[in-house]
Amino acid sequence: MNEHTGIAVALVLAGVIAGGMVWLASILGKKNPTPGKLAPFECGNEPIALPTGRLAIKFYMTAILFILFDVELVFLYPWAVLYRDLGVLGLTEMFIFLGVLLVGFVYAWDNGALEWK
Amino acid sequence: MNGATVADLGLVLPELILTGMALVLILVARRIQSTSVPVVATVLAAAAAVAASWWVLSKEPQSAFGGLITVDGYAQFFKVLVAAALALVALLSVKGLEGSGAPRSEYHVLLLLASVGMMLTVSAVDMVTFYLGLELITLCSYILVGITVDRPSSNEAAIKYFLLASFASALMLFGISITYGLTGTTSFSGVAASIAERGLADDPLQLAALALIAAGLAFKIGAVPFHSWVPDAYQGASTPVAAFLASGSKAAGLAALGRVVVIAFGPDSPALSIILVGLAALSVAVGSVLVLAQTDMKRLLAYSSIAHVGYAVMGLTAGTDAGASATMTYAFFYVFMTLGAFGVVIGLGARGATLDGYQGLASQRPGVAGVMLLFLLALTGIPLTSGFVAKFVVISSAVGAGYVVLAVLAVVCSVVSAFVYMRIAVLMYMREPESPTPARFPVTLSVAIAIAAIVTLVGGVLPRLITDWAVAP
Amino acid sequence: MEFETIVFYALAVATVIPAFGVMMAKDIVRVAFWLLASLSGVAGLFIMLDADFLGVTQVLVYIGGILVLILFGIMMTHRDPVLVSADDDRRRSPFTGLLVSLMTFGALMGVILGTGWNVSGGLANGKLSGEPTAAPLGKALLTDYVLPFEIVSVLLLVVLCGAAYIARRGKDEEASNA
Repeated sequence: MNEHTGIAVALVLAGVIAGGMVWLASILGKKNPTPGKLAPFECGNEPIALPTGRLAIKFYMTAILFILFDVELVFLYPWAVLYRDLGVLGLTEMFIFLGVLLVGFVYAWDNGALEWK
Repeated sequence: MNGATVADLGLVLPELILTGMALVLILVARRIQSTSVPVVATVLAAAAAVAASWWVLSKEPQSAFGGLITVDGYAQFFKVLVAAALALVALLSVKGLEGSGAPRSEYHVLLLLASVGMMLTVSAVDMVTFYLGLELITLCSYILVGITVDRPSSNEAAIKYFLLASFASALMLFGISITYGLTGTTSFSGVAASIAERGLADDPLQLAALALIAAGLAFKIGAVPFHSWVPDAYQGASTPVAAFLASGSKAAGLAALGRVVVIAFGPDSPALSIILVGLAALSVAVGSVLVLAQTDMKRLLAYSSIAHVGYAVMGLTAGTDAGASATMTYAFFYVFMTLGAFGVVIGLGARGATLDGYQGLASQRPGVAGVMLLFLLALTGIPLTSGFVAKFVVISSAVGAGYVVLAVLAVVCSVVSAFVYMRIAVLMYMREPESPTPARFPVTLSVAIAIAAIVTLVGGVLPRLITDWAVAP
Repeated sequence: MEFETIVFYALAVATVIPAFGVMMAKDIVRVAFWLLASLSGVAGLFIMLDADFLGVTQVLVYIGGILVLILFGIMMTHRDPVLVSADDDRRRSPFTGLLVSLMTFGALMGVILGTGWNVSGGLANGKLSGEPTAAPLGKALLTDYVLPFEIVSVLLLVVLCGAAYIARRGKDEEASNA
């Protein structure tokens, strides 16, 4: 048994308790739907139709940029754990890594990839 | 392993030059889009990389970055070749990209970074750098193939290439991970030592891993049966991109294959010999036969490249140093002859895209027809061109290793494929022109074609200038 | 049964049942959410098997990133009446699929159990050490493997520029069509 087992147990317990409560509520709760209750209340305008059609590609652009910086974060994490031990050399190496990616970020910015038009 | 030191940086100077130039170009990409700055910068960086490679060349083999890469004669040979291909492709692109809508800055940045990947691949002696180098090449190639986004055929080619190539990369990575699991190391020499020590040479799982890695590499160099992407990608991509894929990418893939064969999985492995002989025989046969049916010049050169990769792999079947250096010679000469042929295709514009466009070219532009004839003779393998020397060294190394049938097949296929090359020659010299005289070639294009022609001619007459230099790892 | 074994099987169930959900669900959005649950189970397994860094990566990249991308992908192509096909592949006999997956399972199990893997460290004596792995990985990444580390940054740069370039052209087209 290691320290992570505790975390796993906590996760499982949290899942079971939260899921169980939702499940219990759906079984035990009274259901008495009326048109008034089913309407979206104080949630903006009434929907006129189901959302059909496709999303604009600008959402995709944001998503792909997000993934890239997500992956970058994965590389930052082990460095951050022991950046004091790695010293100036480690810091330099990480700055080169980030610098190269910053160039890409500047390119994306400069060429309007971040503009929401 | 010891950590990297600052001194290691000097050993990757060519890579650093190209990367640095690429970073600068990205930063100012939007401002230099319609100028000739990207071309000039790329050619200068390539020239500097050649100079840097020469400068380190005289030294002994050195391992850098804790044994992840090595800087030896083999790596330097291919680095010079890659940088030369980069410079020539950049020169070809001046005319080749006209009116294609491809952004010049991004295009040259991708060429530069793909070349960095090639240089890392050819000097990699560890699975990690080997894989990352190949991935860098492939990633840049996807975007290069699809860079003319306004053309649907370019998009189609890019998507096909992307799907197949990512599959191939995954297969190769699977093979690498199995090898790591079995041997406990990623370094090529460590893998070889572990295979010998733990008696893994006949282990079915190790053989499967070897087959997966070989399949991935065969895909990257476009050897049969992993060639189906080649004609589509070449046809869909703009012509200079196709030239780049046919030259630098192939050379780097062959170099990586050479190292894997000679160092990691050992020359004595019978399974590896079977794989290599199979790849060589199939590529030569299929490439030479299918090239006969082509009327589109890019597809024709694509099938020709498949056959030529087969010849180049033939050198490695011997598993000896002499065989590996035959492959190096082949790769070197092939890069220049194919770049020259692509150069002429680019220069003739829309007329050069199909076989019919070459009718009567000799009476309109005797010079152009003359150099095209030279490249066609070299692609066929006629004596006094570099193509003959290249074919001679690989076929004799196959004979030396006892693969006489393979050698006979190679000679027969070489004769078969001569039909299509000679058909172009006949069209150029023995037909009346049907289209108006093509415009003069721009200086950049002429320079690139002239360099390719000189290497092809000098390599055919004085082959020792190159063969002496092609020393196996 | 040891406590650790119980946790392992709990996580295995939490991985496999959502995997069935991925297979059976009719709606592609539901598939994506089943996938979320399955990937979380895998992350739990990684963490339990001493690969805590891999677990965190799984959460960050797969759950936080790839899944979001899948959902965006669905939203961009979803519910296009033209794309709905009347022919439902799932109604075909599941026999071939079952056979292939059983064969794959058998081959993988045979290989995993029958191979003498060359393992080192804590796993060699069959015990989990419980040591966190992020620190040794960080050390390896920034000392011995610094070259691959920097190559990765160039790789990411190429992806970033390529994505920005290709998607920008798509945006221009969209703007001109509108």
